[in-house]
Amino acid sequence: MSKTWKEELGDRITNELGEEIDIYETQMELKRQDKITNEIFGETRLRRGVYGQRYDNGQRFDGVRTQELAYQEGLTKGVNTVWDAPGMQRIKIPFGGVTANQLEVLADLAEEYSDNILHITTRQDIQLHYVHIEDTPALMRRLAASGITTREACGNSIRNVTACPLSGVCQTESFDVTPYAHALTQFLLGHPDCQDFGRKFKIAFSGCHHEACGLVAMHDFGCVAVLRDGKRGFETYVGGGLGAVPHQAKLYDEFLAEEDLLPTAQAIARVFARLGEKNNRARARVKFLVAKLGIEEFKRLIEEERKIMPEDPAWTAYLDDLTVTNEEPLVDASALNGQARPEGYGEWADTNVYKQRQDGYCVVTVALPLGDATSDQFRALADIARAHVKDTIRTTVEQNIVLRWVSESDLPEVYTALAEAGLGDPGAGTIVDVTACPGTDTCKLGIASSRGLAAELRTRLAAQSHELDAAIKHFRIKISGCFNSCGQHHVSDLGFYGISRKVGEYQVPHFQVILGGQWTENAGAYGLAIGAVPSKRIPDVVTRVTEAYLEQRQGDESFQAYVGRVGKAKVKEMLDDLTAVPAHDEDASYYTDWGDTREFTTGDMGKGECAGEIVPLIEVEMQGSEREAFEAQIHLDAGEYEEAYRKAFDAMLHAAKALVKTQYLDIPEDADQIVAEFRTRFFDTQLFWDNFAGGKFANYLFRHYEEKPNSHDRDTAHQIIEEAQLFIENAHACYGRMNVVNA
Amino acid sequence: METKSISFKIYMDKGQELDPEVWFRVFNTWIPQPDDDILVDVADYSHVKNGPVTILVGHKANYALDNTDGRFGFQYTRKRDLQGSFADDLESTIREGLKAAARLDTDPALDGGVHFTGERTQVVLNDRLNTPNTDDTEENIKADVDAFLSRLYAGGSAKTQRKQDARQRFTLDIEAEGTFSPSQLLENIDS
Ligand code: SF4
Repeated sequence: MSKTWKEELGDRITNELGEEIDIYETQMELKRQDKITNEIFGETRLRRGVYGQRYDNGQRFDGVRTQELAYQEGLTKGVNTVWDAPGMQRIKIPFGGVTANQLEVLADLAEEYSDNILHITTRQDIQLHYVHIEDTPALMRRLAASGITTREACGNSIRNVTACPLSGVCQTESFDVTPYAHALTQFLLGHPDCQDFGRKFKIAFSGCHHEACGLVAMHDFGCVAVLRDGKRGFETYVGGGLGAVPHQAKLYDEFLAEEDLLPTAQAIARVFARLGEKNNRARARVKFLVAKLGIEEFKRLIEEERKIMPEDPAWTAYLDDLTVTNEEPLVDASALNGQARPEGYGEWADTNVYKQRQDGYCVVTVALPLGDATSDQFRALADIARAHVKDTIRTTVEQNIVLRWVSESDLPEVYTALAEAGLGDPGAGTIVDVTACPGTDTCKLGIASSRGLAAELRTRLAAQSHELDAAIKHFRIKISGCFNSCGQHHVSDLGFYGISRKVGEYQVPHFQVILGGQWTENAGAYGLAIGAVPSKRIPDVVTRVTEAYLEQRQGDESFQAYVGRVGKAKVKEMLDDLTAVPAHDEDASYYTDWGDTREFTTGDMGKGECAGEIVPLIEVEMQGSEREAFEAQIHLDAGEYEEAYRKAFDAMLHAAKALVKTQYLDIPEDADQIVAEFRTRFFDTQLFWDNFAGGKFANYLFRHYEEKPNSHDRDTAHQIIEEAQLFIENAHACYGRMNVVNA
Repeated sequence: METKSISFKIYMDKGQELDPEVWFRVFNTWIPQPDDDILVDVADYSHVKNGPVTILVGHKANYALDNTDGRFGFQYTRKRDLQGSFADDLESTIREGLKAAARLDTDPALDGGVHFTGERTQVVLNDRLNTPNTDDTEENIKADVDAFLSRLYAGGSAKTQRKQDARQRFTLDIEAEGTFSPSQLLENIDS
């Protein structure tokens, strides 16, 4: 009889965590006996971080045809998700903080239950892939015994609370946000007010405004540390998010005192649970609620909520001891004087070492290619940490790991140890350090290979790194496998997200090129798509755009300013020839993706469980229309009124087409036909009519289709954007009504 | 003694220089033609150092080109459905691993670009709970391992060395005298 981890670990797991895992295991058993539904079990496992993975519907395209994988029939772990199919386990790492012991446990789990690889995500989590569901309870128990829970790592819940990896040692922070991130994590974990969301809820902390580390502007709730008259508080933001329709967070409060942080977060959770969209997942994030209500009304509701919430001592109890997350160095600070510097040290130290505000100490960034490390490398990191820094280790949103509190004099030794473990790559935080979501490697929603492209770019750029001009060296490249933005492509200098284009009989992997995003200032600006380029030509895009910038920039002009000055249209023109796709028999390489040898297909895409959930065609189209409305807004901001007008009209047309497509799939890309079909099918039938406003929203489209303004100014552009947004809203509502009718 | 998962690695002295895309292509052709497994996906990890290079992920086992410790070879990891005695499970793992290695050895797409050195192999007990890296485990499995290696190497001498780092899984490095291909080793087991 073999032993079990439950017996082995015994009271090394807290009762609470132990009971939770017992319940999960019971639910697994109930599912095996078919006593609970796929939907319920699906949400149950997601809330424990047990995620679906590509091909878990039991099918895979082999390059010629879609093959059935011969799993035992019957047992499923979610809708259309085969029980035996390998999945992904997401492990929450609050504020990225891990200990040496935890690194070792994670290494063991990757060896025994996964594929020997640990993957750092863009939200400081760690993911294991190809995990069998039967192994998940043991895996969770082993994590629990080391102080890690996977609870609420996925699902409609409060996700990992992230924070700058430099918190506490940063030269520019107002104060260390770590104890606050820790307290909020503990407070909201499993909180009854956080169990009925329509979608996920993401929180981030940043120690200052101007750096990128916290990325608060792209979070549902973001907190920037602020000192006012010596008192600690946070400038708080709500309703940010990337996804298909990125929203910059709105300022909620210029100074939220530290004692108000937890109750305010709780109040936001309660209002989100009560008023947030539940039926249409595509509109269910906080950003849509804030957009719908307006920030003032949203704020009023939160304040009202706070007044009626029962007082909870936990709101402020943690303030009595903010030292719980304090760190201490292992080694006394001493300067790097005459020590021998190993080969490669200089280049590495230039990019991978940050001087802490504490004299004589540094943060070392361990650059992980594509965010991946092996189990042996995690153990080596644990050894290095024990030898040089204790447990001061954090994951980063750039998919790396940092070791904090390294005494300067230890740096050469740390570098040597890292290099021996295959972890001595230079280039952290530079153009070489490409970020990518899992994409088609493992994600069910992936369209193109973000990791394949990232690996290719990394290899090419690393080879040129010695020659790279300083002006582009610190560019950020970020890649997502689809529009859901897990690779954070909107907040990079050069961003890409995967799409597919039909060429003749074939599908060809492409990436949308996104320019003008801003990584610093906590993700200060979002880039916009300038056009689609075949996947295989993206490295040429990088070369061409960076070369043009170096040639044409004026003085110290930033890349964002350069793009703004020359205009996206000009940059797009520069790439025009790269968009051509040769016929299949001329060059078949265009028809496979990076890192894959199969003919490209989107047939392997499945139903997502997180970022996009259900992505039927109409929603993809609808998201396209929302993006156009967003772009119209940007044109408006830039004073480009005619362009703003055109985009907003296109957005309405796009939404109308999306609806028409539900009845007439092959509707041509022709405005006359779209409007005519929309009128017949949705206006005349009153399907598009609003209960109160009747046909008013449809008339926005008809009016702008029939009469274009003679001149363009801010007011007309502003008006059509508002109308487009209402039109799109009503299109969503109409689609929702159609679903109800069809159900 | 039971263990839930066993890895068997057979080292190679030719093949490491191949473009990882080649492995991806070969494994991709295996997926529609599984040999007593459900083959699911190919994962490329050629960007990490001293670890897996390319893995064919199956339901019952993983099949990997692997460079752990800087030693390149083919690793078969049986991860599910081991239900016999330790001796049976060891034999079935090594037998399946050798069959897969032999398949690679003769895969036309590799066109002689690989060479296995079956005299250097490794067995890992991938189950720290039931078979930790301890003297006790070594003691418990010694007779089964010795008996099997004697068959595998047709009575020739084979030295084993255990990895000493207590954090590592129970790992035996095996070195035999002579030269052996995967198919020869399979023949030895069956004779
Ligand atoms: S949903 Fe899209 S962006 Fe997110 S991980 Fe999957 S492929 Fe990447």
